[in-house]
Amino acid sequence: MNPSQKMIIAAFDYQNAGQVPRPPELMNIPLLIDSRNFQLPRLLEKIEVERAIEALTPSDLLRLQRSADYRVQSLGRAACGRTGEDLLSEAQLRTLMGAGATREGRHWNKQVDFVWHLTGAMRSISSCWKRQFKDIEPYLISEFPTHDAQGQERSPLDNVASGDAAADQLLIEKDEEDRVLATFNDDPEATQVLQGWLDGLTKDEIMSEYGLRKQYAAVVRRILKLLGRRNGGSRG
Amino acid sequence: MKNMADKKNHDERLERLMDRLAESVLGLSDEAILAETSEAGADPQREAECTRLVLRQASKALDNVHKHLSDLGHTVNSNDWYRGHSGYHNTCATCGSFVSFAAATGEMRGEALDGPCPESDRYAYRRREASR
Repeated sequence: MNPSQKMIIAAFDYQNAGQVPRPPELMNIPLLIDSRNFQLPRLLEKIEVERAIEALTPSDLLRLQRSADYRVQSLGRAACGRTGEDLLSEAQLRTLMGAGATREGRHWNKQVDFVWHLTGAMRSISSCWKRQFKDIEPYLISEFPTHDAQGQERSPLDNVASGDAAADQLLIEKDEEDRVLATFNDDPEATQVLQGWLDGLTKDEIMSEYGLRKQYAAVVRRILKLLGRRNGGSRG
Repeated sequence: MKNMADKKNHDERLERLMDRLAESVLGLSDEAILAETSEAGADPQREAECTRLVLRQASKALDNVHKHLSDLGHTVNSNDWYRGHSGYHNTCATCGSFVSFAAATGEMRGEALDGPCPESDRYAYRRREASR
């Protein structure tokens, strides 16, 4: 039997999967016990999703992982300790739950490339996590960075007025922004693109504003390359 | 008030930056993403397979829940999972008993796991009768 050949066993006369006699080599084959109409679409969808996962190329997978990592980084404290892997995993789960009209699932329209589907799901999930996050928890001192972009140790609380609840979080975000910009101190074009992104400019606006029409793609590659290296690859 | 506005502003700026990075990385060519991963000191093939494993494991976690419930005669509609505080929740379409599972750990809970579906016998009997 070819293990890569996907199969479903229909066993409508049994009450549950445990009762269906099967040789050991067939124990992992999904069973269709219930003739009601929702089991079969789920099993078929699952097979298609699993085939799509196996068909992903190494570069597809690396792009997905890095995109997931940046999405989680965009959440800041709202990430609540979640990682890019958690986001990918959640996107995959919701895809499997989304074989039809759903409350939580995200149906994969087969006209759409599976990588684009997962990235869309991740975008939606990370927005949802952000919305759900209640920004009222106290900040821990251990969450504060203790080194600046030059590696100098410092306390970000030194200049913060006491009782100013938003100020410490403001420092964390400003610090991360400064760290990213400091990475490109010697690259004015990259700094311009990053400033454009921070200011919410579109690609066309950045190209026109800074005269980077021809260089834009190359500058973006430099940014991704250096930040990727700074993060030590997908699993840092 | 000013500080709250600044905070929101910085929050949004950083979010925009990371969003653009997340989108831009998808536009990298195969050669570029493989080369960058290598240059970052990681093995691209190994990294890629780790990510594939993450996707497979998510499928496996959901499979385990469905298989466990199916072994007990419960029938859950995969489309009816909904997200609650402690993970995803669903109910057996036959007996109505509750089940939940945590996506991160795969841990399952709920009365549906306490024993076989009490209604599955009756439903199977009706199915056999109908097929005659």
